[in-house]
Amino acid sequence: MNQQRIRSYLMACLFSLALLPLATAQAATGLISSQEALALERTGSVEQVQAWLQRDDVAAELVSMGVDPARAQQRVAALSPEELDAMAHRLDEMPAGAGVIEILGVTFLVLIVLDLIGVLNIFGR
Amino acid sequence: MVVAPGPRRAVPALLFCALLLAGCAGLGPAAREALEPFDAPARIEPVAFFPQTELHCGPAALASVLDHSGLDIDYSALVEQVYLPDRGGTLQVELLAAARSHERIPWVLPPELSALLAEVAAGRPVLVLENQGVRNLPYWHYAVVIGFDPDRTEIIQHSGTEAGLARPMRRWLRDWTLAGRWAVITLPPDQLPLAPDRERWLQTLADFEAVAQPSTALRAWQTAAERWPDASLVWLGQGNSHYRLGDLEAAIAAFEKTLALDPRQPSAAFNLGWVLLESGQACGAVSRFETLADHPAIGPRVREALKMARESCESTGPGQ
Repeated sequence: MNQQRIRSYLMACLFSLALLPLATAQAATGLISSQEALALERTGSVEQVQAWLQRDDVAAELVSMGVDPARAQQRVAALSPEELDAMAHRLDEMPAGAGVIEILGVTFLVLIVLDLIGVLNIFGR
Repeated sequence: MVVAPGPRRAVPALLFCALLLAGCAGLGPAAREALEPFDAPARIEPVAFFPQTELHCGPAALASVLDHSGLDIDYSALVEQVYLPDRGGTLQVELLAAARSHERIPWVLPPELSALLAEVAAGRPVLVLENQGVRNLPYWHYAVVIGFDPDRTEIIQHSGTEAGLARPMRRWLRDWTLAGRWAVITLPPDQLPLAPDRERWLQTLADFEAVAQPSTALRAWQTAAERWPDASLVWLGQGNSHYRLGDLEAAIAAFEKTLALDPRQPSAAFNLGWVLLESGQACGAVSRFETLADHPAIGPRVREALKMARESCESTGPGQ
């Protein structure tokens, strides 16, 4: 057995020791959910742990943005892992649909443009 | 309105349109093609209208589509669920999440006008994101498409504080396109979208299962099983829902069905073992778990369960 191999065995042992508490926590959760089953099928890993860590981060972020803490927990609980990942990494770039006040201005602009378009259509014929 | 076009009016008009190119562009060939199958106006009636208050177009639009899917909606509670105060608006992903919380399956349509028109024609109001500003200075807004008129090339929506607003299709299409053509329907568990992509629908249901009540999730998996009886996941999903409902026998049958379709499905084998263990068939569970003990991803979880199953099997004996 060469040295390289011994080293990789050692690494594997250390690694599985580090994962031990994790494995115990997982065993307590019971069935493999359909979400986990799909992740396993597609990526070869169930990857729920990272999602759980992100959940807390995103909830804290929501609280810092003015959401009630209890409410924030409920809100992130309903996100899919993919959505959670998007919020954890790209929250600032995500569109936040708003509406009414500025819309009045935009609508006014649209009306002007439409009027002008009408003029042009007649002009073109 | 009759306008006599004179050169004095036409010059500023041309200038204005040069600035706002999109305003002058006609309906493109793709949009004309999307409208072609429809020779009559479509209008879903009634679709409850929730005039938005403050910056709450997100909850207002969501309230409309959820109400139409058969729910009794408390608009102010919905505001609490999706509005993000510091952003002064609502994120798309939170609308999807809130639909799940209300036991409705959110389905993002393919980014094509034809897909949106088809759903509206089939009687489903569609929640859309619009960019009413420009690309670099976006102004995001949610509205609900409730109809369209192919002859007048108009789209009809509940938008902001206006119910049944008719907008020229090309203008609306520009706003919608600038927002990535994002469109969502919210479905009760006994329905499928008109043209669901199988893999994406299964993922959608898996995400739904994680949030919905087990009875609702079960109904959704059953609906999917009617369409794709050969998809092993629709049976795994049913098994998971039966288990959460406490019906272990039905769960066992569903996991066995999953394995009949896909004998190497590790999740179904594990879940079957787990339910056998819980229903007092520990020795049966042992043999299920043993085949999975070396699985690279779920091995640790399996070995933990295997240990429990062995102890239980030894103490009760194989006769149980």
